Amino acid sequence: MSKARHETHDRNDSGIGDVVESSLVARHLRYGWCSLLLFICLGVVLESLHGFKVAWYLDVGTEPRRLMWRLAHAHGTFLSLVHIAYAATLHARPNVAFATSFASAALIAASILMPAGFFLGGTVIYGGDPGVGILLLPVGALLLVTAVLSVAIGALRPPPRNTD
Amino acid sequence: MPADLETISVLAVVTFAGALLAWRAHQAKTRWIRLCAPALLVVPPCGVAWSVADLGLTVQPPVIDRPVKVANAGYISSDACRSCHPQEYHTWHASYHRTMTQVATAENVAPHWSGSVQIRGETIRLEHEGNDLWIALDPPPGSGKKPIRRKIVMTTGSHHMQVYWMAVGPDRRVIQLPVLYLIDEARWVPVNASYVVPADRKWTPPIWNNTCIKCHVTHPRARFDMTAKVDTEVGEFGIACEACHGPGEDHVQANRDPWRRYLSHLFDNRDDTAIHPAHLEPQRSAEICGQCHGVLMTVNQPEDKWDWTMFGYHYRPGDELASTRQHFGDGVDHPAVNDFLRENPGYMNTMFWSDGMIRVTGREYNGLIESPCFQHDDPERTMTCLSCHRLHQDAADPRPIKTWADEQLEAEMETNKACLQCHADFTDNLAQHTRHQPDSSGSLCYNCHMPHTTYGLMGAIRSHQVDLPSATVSIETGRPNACNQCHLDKTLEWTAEYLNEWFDTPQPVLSEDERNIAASVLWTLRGDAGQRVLMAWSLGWDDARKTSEEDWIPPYLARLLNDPYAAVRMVAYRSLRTYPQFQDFDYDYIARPEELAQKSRLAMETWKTTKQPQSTGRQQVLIAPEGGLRTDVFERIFAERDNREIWLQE
Repeated sequence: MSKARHETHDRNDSGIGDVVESSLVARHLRYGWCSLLLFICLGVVLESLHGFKVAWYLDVGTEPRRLMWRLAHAHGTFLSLVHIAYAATLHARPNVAFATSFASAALIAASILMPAGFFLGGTVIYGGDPGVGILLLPVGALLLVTAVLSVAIGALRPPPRNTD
Repeated sequence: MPADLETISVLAVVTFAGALLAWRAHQAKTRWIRLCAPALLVVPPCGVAWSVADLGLTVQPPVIDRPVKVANAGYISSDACRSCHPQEYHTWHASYHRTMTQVATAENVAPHWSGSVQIRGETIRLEHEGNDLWIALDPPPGSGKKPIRRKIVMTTGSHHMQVYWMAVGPDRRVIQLPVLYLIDEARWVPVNASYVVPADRKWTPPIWNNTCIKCHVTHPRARFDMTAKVDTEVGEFGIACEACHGPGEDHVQANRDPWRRYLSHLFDNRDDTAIHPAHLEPQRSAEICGQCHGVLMTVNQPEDKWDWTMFGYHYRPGDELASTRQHFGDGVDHPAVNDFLRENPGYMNTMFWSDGMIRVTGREYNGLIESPCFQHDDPERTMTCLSCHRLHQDAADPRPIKTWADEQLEAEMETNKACLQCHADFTDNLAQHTRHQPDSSGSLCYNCHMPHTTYGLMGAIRSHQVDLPSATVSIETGRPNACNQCHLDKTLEWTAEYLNEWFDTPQPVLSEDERNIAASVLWTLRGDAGQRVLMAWSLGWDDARKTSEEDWIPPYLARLLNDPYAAVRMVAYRSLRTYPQFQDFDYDYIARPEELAQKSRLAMETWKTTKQPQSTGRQQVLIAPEGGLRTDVFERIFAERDNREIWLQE
């Protein structure tokens, strides 16, 4: 860990890290806002299903579908905000992640897999059980935990000293 | 763990934790932390107590005055089924099976529980004591009866009528309230006035714990001993999941494993930890319904008449019913049944027609097993209850759930599709077989082969024994045949001739009246109470009225308004009200005899003044050429009324 920390410092010091991190900031801002738009739209669709009393969404027998899609909407929306927060964190604390590229990739993968797992799990249901698409969820959850853990560890580190 | 024990446990833990923190705070160096100590001692338990009170989770006293729900022998109740089977749970929850027996609450009793009503001079007061429901019956002054005031603890039924059960203490024994509530009529009536039973028959309130419990709950255990305390337990009130699918404990335990569940979902594996009636062979499937919807008696050890009271029935869905219970019926020769019938010689007459066909509702299994559609050897084409009925409404069924719950029929099974499942060869030549217009009620298979010859719940119900119309059987048994139940204005001779011409059915020897007077007229005026009540219903049946030029019918219903049997009067009144001139006819079927006679005369007069001109010259229904009723013949036949006592055990 100590070696990696030095490497990050070195990259920051050389200016290459700044370029990498500014491109990550841009990537997560883009992803965050676009995904927020997508999941807000999903929320509107779900509300419309309520408005039109669509049976295959609201009937008692489709309760797991309603739950899964609501969870897809909630997780997608929340993770979009996490992306924006992550971009802001990277901007404020460029050294926040001990393995920035990995954390970024894991966060994006989790943000796709978790809502997708919920959504697909609700698309085909078996009585009270979601469909097999729900298997994407634990993978996404694991990636999310890893990404957040790496950011949290980075946040616990002291900020780099100003050498000027 | 019961909710009250949970509450006490949480309270104890929080109080202990608060005390521990208070002690630590008391020893702290900082002054303001020390000041917090008393608050830590008081606030947590108060917070829990306040939350509990706010949620209404007050500690409940134990139930001691009625049967209780207790998990036993693998029966764990429908609570465990809901999360995995939401659609099935929902449709069952909407069914009248669920509400067959309920713990009485203000929410599930049919009438608004307040105020008072009068029945035959008796005052019924509906009262509350906290959440408990009470009833007080004040007899008329000078009647010699004692006032009753009892807590109502349970109900039976929620569809057409609701019966109430009173706590009588000091144990879980409950007895029936002498009045019940007719939901369709929104009124209270004496219990005897809702059954075909002689008016002077003394009514003894039944004890629920050894009568209704047998079929109206899931996994009953009466734990009833006349010499000791009654400690009745049930698996669940009402007829719930485990009544048809078997005890659920093993199924729930096995399916906690997600791999097992998903293998079952993906590869359609049959789960052998629960019974699915549709997957059983036809006989075993029908027996699941038959365990309650049949006239049966327990026959073999260990399921004798006392063993079940302690341990519940040994029969489980999927078992062979005959190994523990024997059905009654024509030709049944079983030592236990024979012994019973020797001791109770009139028993068969209370439930069966003289040829062994079941005649009361709720016993459809006895009809099914006598049907040729059930008795043949091809399991693919064997009719079972599930051929027409669906106990969980299909998600794709467009009907409102209340409509489905009425009969629990599968969608379109009230049409010929029910029979055409097997008899597809009639699809294109229906009229050739029925000799009626294809779109008429005469071409509906049910109307000829499952006519309304069963009585129950103040109405006629379709026979569940698939049969052929026959004038001969009508003469031999007194049971109305399908032809004359629809063609109300036709004679038995007319029916016999057509059946002979169309189907070579042998013609019976007929009396002069049977040749000249409509069968419905004879059954209405001269029949016994069982025939009269079926006619009272048929004379108001839409299909029959359209077929029979209905204007001549009201005088017959008017006469039935003064019938000695209350149920006949009620059914006749319901039919009479369907005629336009009687829509607002005011009548109380449990009024005093003189008032009943007066209303009967008034109805007759109303018909005379409002009848249509086409009601002339119809000799078979006793309408004279000038349009009046041929009272001489009418009264002659009426004088021959069969007044023997009829008691139909629904």
